[in-house]
Amino acid sequence: MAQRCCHVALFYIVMSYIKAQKAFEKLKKAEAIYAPVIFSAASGWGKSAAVSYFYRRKNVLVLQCRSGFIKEQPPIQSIRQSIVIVEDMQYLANDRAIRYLQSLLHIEGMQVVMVTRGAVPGYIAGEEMDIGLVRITEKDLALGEAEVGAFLADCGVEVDPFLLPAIAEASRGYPQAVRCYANHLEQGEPYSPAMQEAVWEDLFHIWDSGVYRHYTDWFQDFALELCRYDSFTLEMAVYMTGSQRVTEVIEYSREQMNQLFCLPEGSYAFRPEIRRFYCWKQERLWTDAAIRENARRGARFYEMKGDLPNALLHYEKAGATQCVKDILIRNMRENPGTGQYVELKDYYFDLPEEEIEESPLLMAGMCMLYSLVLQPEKSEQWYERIAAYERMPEHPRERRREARIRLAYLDIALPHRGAKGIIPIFRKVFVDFFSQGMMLPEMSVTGNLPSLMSGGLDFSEWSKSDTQIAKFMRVPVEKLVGQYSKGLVTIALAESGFEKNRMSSYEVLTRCNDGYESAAHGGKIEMCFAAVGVLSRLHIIEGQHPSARRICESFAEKVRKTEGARQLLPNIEAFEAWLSLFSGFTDRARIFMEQVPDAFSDFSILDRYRQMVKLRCLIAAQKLEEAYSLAGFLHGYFVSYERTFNRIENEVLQAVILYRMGDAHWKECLLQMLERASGYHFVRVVSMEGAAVYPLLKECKALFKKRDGEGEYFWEVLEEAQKQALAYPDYLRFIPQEKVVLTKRETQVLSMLCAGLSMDEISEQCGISYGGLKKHNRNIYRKLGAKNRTEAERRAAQLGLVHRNAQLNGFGYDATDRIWGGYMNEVETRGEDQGAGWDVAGTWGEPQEDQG
Amino acid sequence: MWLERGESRRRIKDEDIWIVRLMGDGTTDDSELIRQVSKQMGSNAILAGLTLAQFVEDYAAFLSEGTKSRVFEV
Repeated sequence: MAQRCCHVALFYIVMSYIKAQKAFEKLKKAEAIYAPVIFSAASGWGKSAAVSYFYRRKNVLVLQCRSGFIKEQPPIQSIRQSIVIVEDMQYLANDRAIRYLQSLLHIEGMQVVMVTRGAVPGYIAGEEMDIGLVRITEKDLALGEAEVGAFLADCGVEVDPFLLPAIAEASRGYPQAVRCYANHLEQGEPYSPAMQEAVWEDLFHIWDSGVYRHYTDWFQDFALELCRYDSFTLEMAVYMTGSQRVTEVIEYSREQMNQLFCLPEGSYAFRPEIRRFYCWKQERLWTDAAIRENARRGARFYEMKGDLPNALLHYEKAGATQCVKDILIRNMRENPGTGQYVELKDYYFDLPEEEIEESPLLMAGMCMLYSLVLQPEKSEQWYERIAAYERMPEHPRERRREARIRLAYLDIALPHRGAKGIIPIFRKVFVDFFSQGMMLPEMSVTGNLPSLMSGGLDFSEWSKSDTQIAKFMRVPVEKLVGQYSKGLVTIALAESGFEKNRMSSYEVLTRCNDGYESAAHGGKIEMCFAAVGVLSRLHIIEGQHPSARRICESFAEKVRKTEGARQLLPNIEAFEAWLSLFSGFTDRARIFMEQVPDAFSDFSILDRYRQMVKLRCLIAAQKLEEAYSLAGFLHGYFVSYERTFNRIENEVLQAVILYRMGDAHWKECLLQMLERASGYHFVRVVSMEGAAVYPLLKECKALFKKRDGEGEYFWEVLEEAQKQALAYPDYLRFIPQEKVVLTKRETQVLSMLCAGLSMDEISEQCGISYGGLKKHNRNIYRKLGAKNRTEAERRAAQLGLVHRNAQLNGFGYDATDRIWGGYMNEVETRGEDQGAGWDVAGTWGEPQEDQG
Repeated sequence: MWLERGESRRRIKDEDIWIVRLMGDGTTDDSELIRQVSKQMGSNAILAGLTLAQFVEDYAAFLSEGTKSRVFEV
């Protein structure tokens, strides 16, 4: 039989109810239109209390689902109440009961309020749009600062108002947690980190006695086996639990408890607080040995998957020091140049020196690691130790041989030694090793960068005589770098020709495509990235920015799907951010800039590409002081490691920074850079900075009057930079992100301007005089900081006032109507014709009227 | 023996003079150069290639522009 709603949460009985504002606002709106509501939140969020309080004066029907079906199911026609509350809906599994509930949802004039600890079930989610479902989640039920204050006051606890934000944050607005804080504060304890820990402990006890014991055994086992891991895949869950029922368990957890969330790429993670609870529970139920065994099993799984940082973390937790050492040695053996040294550096640095000295492989790892983190002296010390080891006859023959191989490898690959003098080393390697049937470990040539010229090593010197070097070195390089040689020479020649502007676009394109194909069939994906890098740059200089982005995006997609290619992703992300800069300082670039760590506190040379892109972002964001420091830092690295190409690239940007800072040294910096770059005839490295560097070059024109000799290079750079500046006028340009406030009329006019309508057409459509329209135009240009119609259109697109494609495609008036609706919502409109006196976006002089 | 280009000069190392002579004798095709150097040194194509690559790297500033005959001067 139906019953009157009387379910009241504990804290509602003992004290007055503190409303969660957001939840109540949603409830009010839903009630007005009889929209069904679903409360989806974990235990203790006050779902039932909120429902009870909100409907306390209404005649409601409460249906209970705890047993899997609806306990009492009155015939629909006989229901007199207009509000039906479905409690504990997470348990509902009976088909008939589900159909009953679905029927209720479609009855006009009846509001159904569902309360669940799980997610929105599939049978409701499918109808969500049709029935106009209103979701109320934990976010809506969370108590804000004021509500926490009221809650504590209601408990009779007086708190310093300054503490409220801290308590609200620590409790995350979770009413159960606030209640625990109230208990502690009531006993006169001062608020402190220790209290936070004590509250966690209280909550764990509450969950343990109130919720955990209701879980099935198989779910408890599942949770305890996996709680020590940040995330897990289905495969990992099967491996760890030894059960084939994990899919079912995950489904159960998601539907009934809302404890797991899905991460991208098909992995799962426990909610952080729940995970912490299970770890707490595990410590009480399991022995130390069992916990260590669990960690060891997890580590083995990560190791199988090649996730070395996680494998090491968990082996360490398991106390398996030998396994840690074995992994570090294997990493050195299998990935001598690209091993995850930097991510693993703490483990390498933690190894006792005497243990490292026993292994030529580990010594070589330390030698490489120190070079990567800009400590070349220490790197050389380890090199000497390997050499000393190799000379000592008392060491085992096999290990001395290993030491010789490692030394030869390091001779070629150590980053701080640069590429100078590398040919005699190659010769020595061929004479000493290959003739004796010994092989060196495979080495990466690209350093995971979209370039070969400034890849693993700097090959600027070879660019001077690229075709001949390519001819003479092709066979030795193929022999030396193995699979990495597929496509290498072809792409390297294309890049060299491209950088020097000495190869037609067609030839660069053809060579890159050939190189890509070659690398894609039996070669390395790193080499494909180098080809993609050159191809994209080629498209950029041809003014085909969208094509460049497409190439990069589709390659990124391929990398994400390719096993063993994830090491490329950070630099692909940087490359995409760099491409986005050609449209101005985009959100993408801003987010990237904020994500890249501070080079001064955490830098390895593998980060150089990301840092160079960050430097450009800083310039675009007008953070010139920060950019200046970063460029100075990178300069030191590029000079000491003989990275000529990067040095030139950095010096171009340094000159731009100084110029924008108003520092007269920019010219000296620019001229020195030009002298260095002209020695290699590198044109693109300068000209690709287009709109950023063009004003500087223009000011130096007088110094290079003659167009022959030294002047020839300068004028070539200038002309190429000009083309870039014209194609991408917003590249590294600082665009203030102020709010542009347009009147309704200005919004209308701007929309028509962007859609390509003529002045006559606009004045006719708007029913205003030509003179009046000119006045609107002037105001629009002023507010947008634009000099003319073209700039106004561009600024409007940058600020998201209109869709850029709409302008580029030259949509007619119909299209304008279509885009209008969208941007009318985005632009904050003010009263009609109140143009005068608004904030001025920029001062670009007198606007020029209608150029279209 | 010296190489000269514009106002720059560079002395040719003794061990490289024979390569300059080989080029001066008209061997300009790269494959033929490798073959000749290989024969002269009694080594394989890899070492010959490396010898020539070293030569090109050492004198790159003099070889990168213009024709070889114009650059070489004794």
